[in-house]
Amino acid sequence: MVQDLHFNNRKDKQADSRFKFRLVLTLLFTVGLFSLSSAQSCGVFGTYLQNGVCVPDVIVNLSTIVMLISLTVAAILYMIGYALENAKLISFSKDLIFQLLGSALILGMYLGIVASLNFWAPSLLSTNFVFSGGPSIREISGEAVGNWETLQSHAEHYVNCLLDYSKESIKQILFLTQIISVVASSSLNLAIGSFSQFIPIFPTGGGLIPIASLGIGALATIVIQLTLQLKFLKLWFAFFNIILPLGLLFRSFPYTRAAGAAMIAITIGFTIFLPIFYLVIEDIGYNYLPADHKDVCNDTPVHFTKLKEFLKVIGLGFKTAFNDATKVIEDEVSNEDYTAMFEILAIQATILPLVAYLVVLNITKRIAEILGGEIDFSTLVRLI
Amino acid sequence: MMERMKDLTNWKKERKRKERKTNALQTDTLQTEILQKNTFQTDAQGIPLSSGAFILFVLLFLFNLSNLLSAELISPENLPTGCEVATKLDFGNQTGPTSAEQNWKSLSFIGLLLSAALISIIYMIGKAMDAPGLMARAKTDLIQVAVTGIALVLLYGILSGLCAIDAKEFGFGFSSFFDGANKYFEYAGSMALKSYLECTNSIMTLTGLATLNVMSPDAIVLGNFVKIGVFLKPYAGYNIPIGALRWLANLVMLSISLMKGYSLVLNAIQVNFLNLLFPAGVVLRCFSPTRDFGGVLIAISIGLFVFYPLLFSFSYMIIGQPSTSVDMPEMNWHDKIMGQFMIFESATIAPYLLFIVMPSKIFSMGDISSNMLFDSFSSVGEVLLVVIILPAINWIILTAIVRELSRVLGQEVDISGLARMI
Repeated sequence: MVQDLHFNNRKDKQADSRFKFRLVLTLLFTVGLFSLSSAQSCGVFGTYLQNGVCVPDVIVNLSTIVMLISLTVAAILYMIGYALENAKLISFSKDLIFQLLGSALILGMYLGIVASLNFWAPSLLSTNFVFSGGPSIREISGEAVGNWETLQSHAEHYVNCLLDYSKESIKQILFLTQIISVVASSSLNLAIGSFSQFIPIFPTGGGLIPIASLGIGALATIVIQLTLQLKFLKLWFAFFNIILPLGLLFRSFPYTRAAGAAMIAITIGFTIFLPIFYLVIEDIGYNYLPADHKDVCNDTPVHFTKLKEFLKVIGLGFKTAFNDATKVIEDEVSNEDYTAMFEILAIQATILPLVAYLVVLNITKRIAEILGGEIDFSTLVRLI
Repeated sequence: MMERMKDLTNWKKERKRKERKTNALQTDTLQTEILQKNTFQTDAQGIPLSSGAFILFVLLFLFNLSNLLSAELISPENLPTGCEVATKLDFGNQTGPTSAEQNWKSLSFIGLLLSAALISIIYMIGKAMDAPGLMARAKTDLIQVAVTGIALVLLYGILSGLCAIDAKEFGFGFSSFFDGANKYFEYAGSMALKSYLECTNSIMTLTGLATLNVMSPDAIVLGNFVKIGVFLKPYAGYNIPIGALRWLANLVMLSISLMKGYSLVLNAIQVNFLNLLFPAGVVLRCFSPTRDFGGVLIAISIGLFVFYPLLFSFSYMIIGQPSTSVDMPEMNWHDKIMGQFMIFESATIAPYLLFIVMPSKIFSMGDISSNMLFDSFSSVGEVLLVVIILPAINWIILTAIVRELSRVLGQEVDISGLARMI
């Protein structure tokens, strides 16, 4: 009786696992079919699919052909192994076939997800990842549904906005330093008859130079890293075109499997997760910016070229000379315009992208581990 | 039943005998054991290698000696490419990386023959002295010679295949992977130079403008006796960003040297690595005590010869295979400074004129200077990708491949320790 019960339990478990296996297979088949149908709409040769957009290419197809050749070679090896009754050859070719099938599955799934971005990514226009139900920055920045091209292009647009803001900031700070330096370096010569007297206008103005130098240095770093971010985002083309096919190929062979897995993981991380995380950091920045400065794309930094702002800076100089400098600076830092400028340049353009890259790199590392590889980012960072 | 028992006893006896034999062999690595059991079950006693190998060796030695004596040097400007080193073998009277007396194929072949001859002698000595241990070791080494020979043929096949494919036929901007790597270094170097020139142009312009002194003793004239003179530096503020620019220019200049260094390493790898390290590795791999080290040498030479240029070719593809002729910026700092000098000089001629000219000049030059600064900073950002980030990624992949290869061929190379040392 007890034996029967055990037997029935085992049977149930087997049936359950069979059902799960079939469910997974059905899901994979659906994803594969979906990606295949999307890819076919693009044409079989000479094109590939990215965010639902067909782009001409030869390498992806070349890699597909090489993968097919590898599959044929593996199958032939398997047959030879059987004919010669060589267990080692059979197990090697079996492993090779499984790996190639696995790579093909990964390609199918990846294509499916990337193709699906075309359908669900536009809905992100009206989302707010940080406060659900809150207004979306992507809507107020004027990027209407019709203008939305791809997730990637939106991330590029956002970084471009930050670059433009930095460029304007350089212009404003340079103007300010220029005006201060003109006043600080100027002297008047009052000549009455044979009498003459030199009078420096603002001799202590030179004291502001180290602060201005610090500002320009910080802006240089911001512009450099934003340009790098933009370059990295533009590399999606290469990730999809070169790194993914190479990764699929490398993953098929035992000695290059780890490198191949790392390449596939990098492609997934940088073409899917990175643009999504740009949306997240965009929302975080949006929620912490002052009310009048929420739209980075249409916002401008403090305009020192305006007389009001210029006089305010001069006044600040006088205030610090006569009062407690720390108190004056504290009061001015709480000024909304200066706060917004600082938040955009330091937090939105520098710290938040850094956090996004850290998260994406960690995800990439985990994906690489799942696919059978490992990425040693610490050595990379040390090298850089 | 009795027969089965007999069979079982015989099988056990046979197994014990084999175990004793295997213990006596004292083979060095697991890989060798597997090869012995599965692939090379031929009895080394039956191979008449020693005499044949010796004759071949003598013939090759004489041939090489005659070549060496009548050799002509190849000029350093016309050094062969990696593919020529990999596939060509000159038997003419020229000495160089492709000539028979220096090329990896002939050297490795001679090395294998020499090793086989030496092992045969060791085997003979073992036989003469009736030392089964020595004989067994010699047999194992002989099998390794055969394995290395097969690996040599395989490598030649792979290299020939890689070099035979003209990548231009597939729509690439380079013909071979060596060509691709060279183009990458050339492009990255040009980009770094462009960025350096942009930074230098900005430094020169801003320094020139910052030193401009305007002296107008009669700027304001109040009657016959009272005059107010103005002495100022209209662009003194431009001294401030020069420090940041100078730092960036130094960084970029270092990048130019780095790219030159990478290019030189590629040349050295193309010409010397396969020709020097590989034959040495082949010979060392044939003998038990040096097998692991030989494997490491082979791994390093193959890893660097094949994967170093291959990875940089991929990088060239990643950046979109741009043209190596980069448009250099116009070094127009002199014109800008002279223009401002002329304007301010003429503004000091008449009273009050300076106050009309100065505000507009400060605004217009502010725009020009801030654009120059932004362009310089951006160009440095662009350069960092091609001269630091992509090469760093390539080095990581390269070290991983070399480590994996060396593990397969014998001993794991402590790459991380090497990197720390560097």
